Amino acid sequence: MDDYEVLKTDVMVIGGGAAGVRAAIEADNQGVAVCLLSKGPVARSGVTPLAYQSLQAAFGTSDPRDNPDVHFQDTIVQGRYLSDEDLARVLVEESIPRALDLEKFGITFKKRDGKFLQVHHPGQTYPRNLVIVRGGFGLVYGLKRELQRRPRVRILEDFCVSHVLKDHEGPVGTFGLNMRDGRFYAVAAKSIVLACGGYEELWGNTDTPPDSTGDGVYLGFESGADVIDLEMVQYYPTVFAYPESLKGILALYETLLERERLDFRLVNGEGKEFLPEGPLPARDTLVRLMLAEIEEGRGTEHNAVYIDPSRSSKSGEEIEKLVDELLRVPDRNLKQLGIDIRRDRIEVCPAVHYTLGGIHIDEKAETSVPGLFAAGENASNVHGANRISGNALSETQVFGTRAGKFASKYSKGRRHGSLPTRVIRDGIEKWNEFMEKKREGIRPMVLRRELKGVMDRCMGPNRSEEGMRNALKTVLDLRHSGLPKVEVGGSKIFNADWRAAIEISMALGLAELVIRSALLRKETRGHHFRTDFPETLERPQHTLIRRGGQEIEVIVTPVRELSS
Amino acid sequence: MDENIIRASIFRYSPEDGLSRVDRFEVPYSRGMTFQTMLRYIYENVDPTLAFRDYRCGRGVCNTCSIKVNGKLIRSCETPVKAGKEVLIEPASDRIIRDLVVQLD
Repeated sequence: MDDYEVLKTDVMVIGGGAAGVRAAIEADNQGVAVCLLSKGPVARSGVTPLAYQSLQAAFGTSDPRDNPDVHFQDTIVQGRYLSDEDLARVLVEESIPRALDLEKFGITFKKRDGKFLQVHHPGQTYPRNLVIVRGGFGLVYGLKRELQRRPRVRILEDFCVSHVLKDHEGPVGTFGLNMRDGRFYAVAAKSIVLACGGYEELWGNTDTPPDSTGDGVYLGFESGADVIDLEMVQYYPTVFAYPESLKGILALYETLLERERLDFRLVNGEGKEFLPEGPLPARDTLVRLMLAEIEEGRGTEHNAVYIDPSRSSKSGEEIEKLVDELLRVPDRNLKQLGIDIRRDRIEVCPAVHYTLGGIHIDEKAETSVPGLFAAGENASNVHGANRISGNALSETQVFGTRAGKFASKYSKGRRHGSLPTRVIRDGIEKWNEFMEKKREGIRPMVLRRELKGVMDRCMGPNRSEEGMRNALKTVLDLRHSGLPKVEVGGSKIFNADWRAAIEISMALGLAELVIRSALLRKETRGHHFRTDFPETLERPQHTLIRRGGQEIEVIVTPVRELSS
Repeated sequence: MDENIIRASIFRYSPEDGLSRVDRFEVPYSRGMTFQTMLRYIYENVDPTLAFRDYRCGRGVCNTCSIKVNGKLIRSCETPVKAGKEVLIEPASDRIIRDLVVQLD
């Protein structure tokens, strides 16, 4: 009996968010066969639909002094000098034409007098964020519509990729579980784009959806690609800490707290304001200030601080107008749950928001494995140690496009490699074992909760050698003793526990890499605060992990600088 | 009627044999509970085989979590459940993959 299906394409894109869909569109532009695999429905999974409306591009419409050079400087300085400058340069140059592409695809931006409205977010010298109508969902749904106008692109949704397949020359395809029919598939391809999102869900305290388990970064590492700066995890400062049904939903501090917008204030559990005078600090600094309040016992009942509307300098009328203009949809959403952001104090705390580390790419979005490309949160390091608002969505478009283009070029004139039957059969056996009865079976969510717990405790923004060594031990224990006990019941079609079992297998492997990477960075930089190494080293370096045969190689490597 | 219990009848469909049925669950009510957190409670604590789309954009725009409650289409992530109620939960459309999971446009 044939226990798996085989499909064929030229370029395979993994990921149904903004980066993946953009890569697929570009590959289709190049005239090659494209197959897009997405763990959930395209445009309705991963983090893009959660993104707010900001896409950064230096059009200079709000302030004529703005240009790509200033955007570049802001990105490097706010990234605490950990960005590869060649990548940052590409980002700032190409975010402009990529934003114009989006308009052509039918995605709408807020305009004033026919020109892009550009708003200021912390870390920007001049107002630079374009405002996408309907936010991240508006962006990715528009991209999906464009993809649907291209009938040659094959789309498989609810498809969980678990292996990148290789022969002696390079990647030859992928293998995974199609949730829709409960069958395994091997998809042969000539080149592969990994664009399936970050690994925020290794932590419990996040503002991301449950599917952000970092599959793509782990797949990249497993297939031999260098992964860098995995310890760099960006926190969003103000995420609902209470009530339970809102936990993990972010409260847009750029709108709520900016003086020229709502001018609400951050106050601690004792009702005192604690931010310094002057403009709002960038995210890494703001997170540190908030955590100091919470950790030194001045937090709220739910280990948070408050956003307090009562001290705003704005009148009730102004607030009403701004809420209607900037927060209409979240406002409706919150009202249903009994919260009025105009009047109610809300409890917020920092939560894992964006993973800055990932697979090391070059200007072509190619990884250290020829034929394997990465974009979006799978790729690193464009943003350094601290990303400014608006650069995430720009990055998906700039490097998604490049990945699609160069993956197509790579595929042209090449033949398909042969699919490694042995690896596929081993994979099937491994995933089928989860469905077998165990003596002391546990559900995958048990491991997931334990992983999240230890990552929150020891791998939060404040880290020390001792805590991280403990975390590493726990993660290795979970992997070696916990994973074999995982038992999944039910049948094969659309079995959420089965997918969770595959996810946790990869997530535990990735968590080990994240901790090893963090142990190696013996300094404080951006969102990585070492209590035992509070200083920032003068020379910024990447932490880099690669597979050297059976061993894991962990080294530091210089940040790429542009010659001036 | 116990004010702290929600009685949910949930449509189930199994693609293997094409059969459907309705299962009844009793869920302890907690403050601020939405239909989505209720379904998650059932999946995590009562029936691991319950299939639904546990995804939310947090803005009430993506409609991924849509279900029918007593015949009416709602977004499960932003609709609070009411304590002490009986509800019938069905998939948002007839393009069903399993239980409450449907194919989306």
